[in-house]
Amino acid sequence: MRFIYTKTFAVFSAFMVITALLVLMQVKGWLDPLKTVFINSPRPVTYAVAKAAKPIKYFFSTAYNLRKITKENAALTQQVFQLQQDLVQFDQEKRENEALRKELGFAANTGLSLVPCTVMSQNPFGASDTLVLNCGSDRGVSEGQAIISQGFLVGKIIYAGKGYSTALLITSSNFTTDAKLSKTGASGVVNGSFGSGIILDQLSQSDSADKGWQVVTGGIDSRIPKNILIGEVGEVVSNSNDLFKKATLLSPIDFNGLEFVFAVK
Amino acid sequence: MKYLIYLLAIILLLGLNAGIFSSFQIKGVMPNLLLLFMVLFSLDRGDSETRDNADFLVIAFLSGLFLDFSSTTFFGSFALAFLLISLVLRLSSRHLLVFEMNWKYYSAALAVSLAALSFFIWFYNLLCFRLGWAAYLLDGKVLRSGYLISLVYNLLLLYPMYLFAESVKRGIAYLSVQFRKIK
Repeated sequence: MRFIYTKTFAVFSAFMVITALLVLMQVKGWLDPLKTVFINSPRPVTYAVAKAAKPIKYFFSTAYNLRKITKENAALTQQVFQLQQDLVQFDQEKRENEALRKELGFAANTGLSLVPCTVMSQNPFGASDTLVLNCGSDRGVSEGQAIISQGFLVGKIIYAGKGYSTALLITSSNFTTDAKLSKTGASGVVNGSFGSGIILDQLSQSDSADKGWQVVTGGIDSRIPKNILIGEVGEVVSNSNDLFKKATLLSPIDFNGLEFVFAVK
Repeated sequence: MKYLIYLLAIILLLGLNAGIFSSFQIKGVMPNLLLLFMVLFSLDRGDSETRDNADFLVIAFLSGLFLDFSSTTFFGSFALAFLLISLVLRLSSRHLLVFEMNWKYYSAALAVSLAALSFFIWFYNLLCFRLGWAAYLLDGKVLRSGYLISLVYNLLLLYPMYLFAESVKRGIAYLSVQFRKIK
């Protein structure tokens, strides 16, 4: 029997004709609805199979990329260490930045002649309540000058070398300077108190000293200008029977965290 | 009834192809389960009852249609290619091959089918491009470059697909017997 007379050939020819018609319809753009049906029909199977094959795929992918993953891991660990170090440096710079902003915020508004200094170290050689600064006589710093931070008195220069100087903190028991109550003008003396506090002493018993009153420099010491803020009155620690009235002073300055100060010329 | 089973089998194979083997490509090459299914059905010599059976053409046509709609080649590439290849394979298995089908013939048939498929798709797209129907020309290099990997990948799946095709045939045969009993 000739092949062209067989059922196979007839079916083949029919399918060829159908395919040709479909191609024509595709050229005309009429096959889109049918396309949607054909594309979407295997979708449930594809989705189910892809979900089931995911763990296997990850397993083989991980095994294949194990060497690469190990290398990446080592590089990332190294990067993490580096970033941690950078973070420490960043935190330090952020702190310095904030301190500088505070100092510059005050310095821009004051009429005083200021020399900016960086605190090199605190309490060197076990000596208490002193600062070593990176400004010295070459920049106009001299002994007896006031050291301020954010507008508050923090100490005074006790030694000025070339390029560096040493300052005594106001909290030192060796520190003393004249002061007055801003409100009433009553004079007194400010002393440090064993490294932890500031005392306003030698106030007259008749002078009032209420909590929160501002205390400023008196200006008697020619090297320390008057009206530099020292702190505010905390509480009165003397009795009425004592010769002088004594009160604690509260300063907003963190004396242990000083990084930048100004020397007042 | 059997055509419905063929359709479901083709949808299942297409889903498997897209779901599993898209994640397990080798240098961007995936096996073609529908091609394997078509080749295995086309090479079936059949017995006296199924000698003039044209089911292989139905499978070739449907598989080709599904691949045409899923691929980016010009419509008709796969359908026409599958119809021609399946007819050639059936005629050669009936009239040229004297001995019983074994794995050598299956492998050779697969290799020839893959090469013929790549060539036909390229040629058909070239023709359609010249006629102004296709928007772009297929690069023959792309079709050639993945041939060996595609052949090896498809050969690895030949035996599982053979088992699947045999189970489909047995299923259809069983259902036909049951249907006749009911009648």
